[in-house]
Amino acid sequence: MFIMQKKIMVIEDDPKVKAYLISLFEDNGYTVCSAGDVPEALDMVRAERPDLITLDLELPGEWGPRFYRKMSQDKDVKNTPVIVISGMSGNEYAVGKAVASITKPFDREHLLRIVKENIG
Amino acid sequence: MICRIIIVDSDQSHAEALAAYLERLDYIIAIATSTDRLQTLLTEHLPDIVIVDAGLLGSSRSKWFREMKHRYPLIWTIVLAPPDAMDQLMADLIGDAFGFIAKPVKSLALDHTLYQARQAIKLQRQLSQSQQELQELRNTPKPYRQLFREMPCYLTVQDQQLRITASNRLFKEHFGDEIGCKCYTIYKHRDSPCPECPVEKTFKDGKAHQTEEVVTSKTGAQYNILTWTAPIRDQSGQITQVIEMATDITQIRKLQDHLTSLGLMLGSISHGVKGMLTALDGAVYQLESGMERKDMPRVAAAVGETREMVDRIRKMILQILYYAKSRELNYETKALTDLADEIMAVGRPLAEKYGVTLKLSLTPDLGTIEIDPHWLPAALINLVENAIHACDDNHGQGPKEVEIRFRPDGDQGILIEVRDSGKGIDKETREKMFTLFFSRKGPQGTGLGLFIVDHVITLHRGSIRVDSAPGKGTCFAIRLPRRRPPTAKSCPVSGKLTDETI
Repeated sequence: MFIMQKKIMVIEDDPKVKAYLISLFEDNGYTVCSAGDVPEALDMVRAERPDLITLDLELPGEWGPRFYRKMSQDKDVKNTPVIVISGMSGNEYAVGKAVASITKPFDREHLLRIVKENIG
Repeated sequence: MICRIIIVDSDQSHAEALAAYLERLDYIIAIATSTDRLQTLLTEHLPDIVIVDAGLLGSSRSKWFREMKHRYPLIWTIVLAPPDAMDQLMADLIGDAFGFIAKPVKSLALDHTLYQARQAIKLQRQLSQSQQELQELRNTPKPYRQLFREMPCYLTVQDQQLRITASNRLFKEHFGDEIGCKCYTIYKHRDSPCPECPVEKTFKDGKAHQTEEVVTSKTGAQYNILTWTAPIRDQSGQITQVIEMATDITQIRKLQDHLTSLGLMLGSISHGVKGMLTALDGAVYQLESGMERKDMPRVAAAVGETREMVDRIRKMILQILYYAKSRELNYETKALTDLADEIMAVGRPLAEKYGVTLKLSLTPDLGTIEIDPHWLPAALINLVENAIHACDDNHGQGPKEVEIRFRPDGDQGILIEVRDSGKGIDKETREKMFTLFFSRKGPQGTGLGLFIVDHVITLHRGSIRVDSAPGKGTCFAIRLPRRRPPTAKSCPVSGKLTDETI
């Protein structure tokens, strides 16, 4: 039986962390796309329609919460679940509607569990 | 007004009668019955008035009066004489005696003459006091000039073109006493006014302005200074010049630097540390998953990543430790060729990554050097990394080349040069570059590197010099003694920033 792979979009500016998240998700059977800043991420979320997004808060130029606000104004993608992954403490308040907020460095099993709970 | 009188009369009893009369009028009287006695009394009694019987002086009276007037110009003389001798006497003594009283002396004549004499004396005293005050007034700018000269800060007066028209002693001592030079040339070795010049602002709005600067003295010493400006106006209220007071706050800054550095550094790098740890997690994950899948290219890449992250984390932690922990130099004797190899081993991969040619040139038989085998190579590697980054900043313009040279410096020293073909550094940057938190690299730099380099080399009793100009590349020249200085042999260097740093 053909099962459609779920798609995760990684928004992260540190190339090493981005590569890590991509491998981690791909190795666990997800399709992954990624963006390094807010404009790129906005274009991509509309084009790729991911099932879940991981969002870094500190991005060059515009910050992560700005991405979330703009995404929320687009009815086609506004219900996409977002997991905030950031080095900032207190980041659970930055994006109130995020399904989870985890801090770097994170426990990868914990992250995968949250992903699975949300999109299977 | 107290008035002292000497009565000169050969007739003692006549003199005493006069004295009795005058003492009742509150005069202080002395009597001389001869001119010899008068000479003594003139210095003992210090009279304001001398009343003299002309008969005592005989034919030499003109000469006597002229002499009196010459030697005691402030003493008023009154002559007593019989009425028949009076005319001749007045003719002889005109201008030399103050008053003439006929004998026998009438009280009214005496009172009148003495009253006039006292008025004259009073006027004369007022005049001399005024004269003295006038003289003092003339001298008053002197204390102010001295105050200006001796103020324990750098004082300069500048005109609209920022030319120094006056400066105080301390300024002259540290920055030279060239009058008419531009402020920014002397203080900062710049070719144009500093941005946000407080003197220009004061010329514009007449208010006091403040800035903090790093300036370089004529001997090359650096000072953190706090400057305040104030306008100098002429009588019409126009601002003609501006006075600038600069206080040396180097010591305070050093302390503050040290105190704030820890907190600030930990705060500012915590985000970076978290990123690095996450990336390290990533590398470990790639390593594990690569091994599970027997995916050797993945494993190989992961090993490289792991090494890079460990290096970066180690470097950062060492910088923190340099501040957080008390440190001492642990001297070891090292072959200079080994030192060079160590630096090349770290520099080469980085140079390859950025496409920079890294050259090493050693003179033969370099011998050994006593250094801290941890801190000194770290400082040199920092310089080499900077040099490679500087070439990378070139954006493909010109050759990308870094050369490290080791050669003897006299009998007792070693000269190490790190030369790059980067875009060079202007003089102001050169002067600021060893201060804490000064970084040209923006978010990539902590501003710690060169500060620590300078500190490490100073601890080794060495020196570091920068030679550079925009477009001409940069050369750092480090001079180090081959043998550790005697003071450093046994006593550990305190963890605090010592006076001799920067």
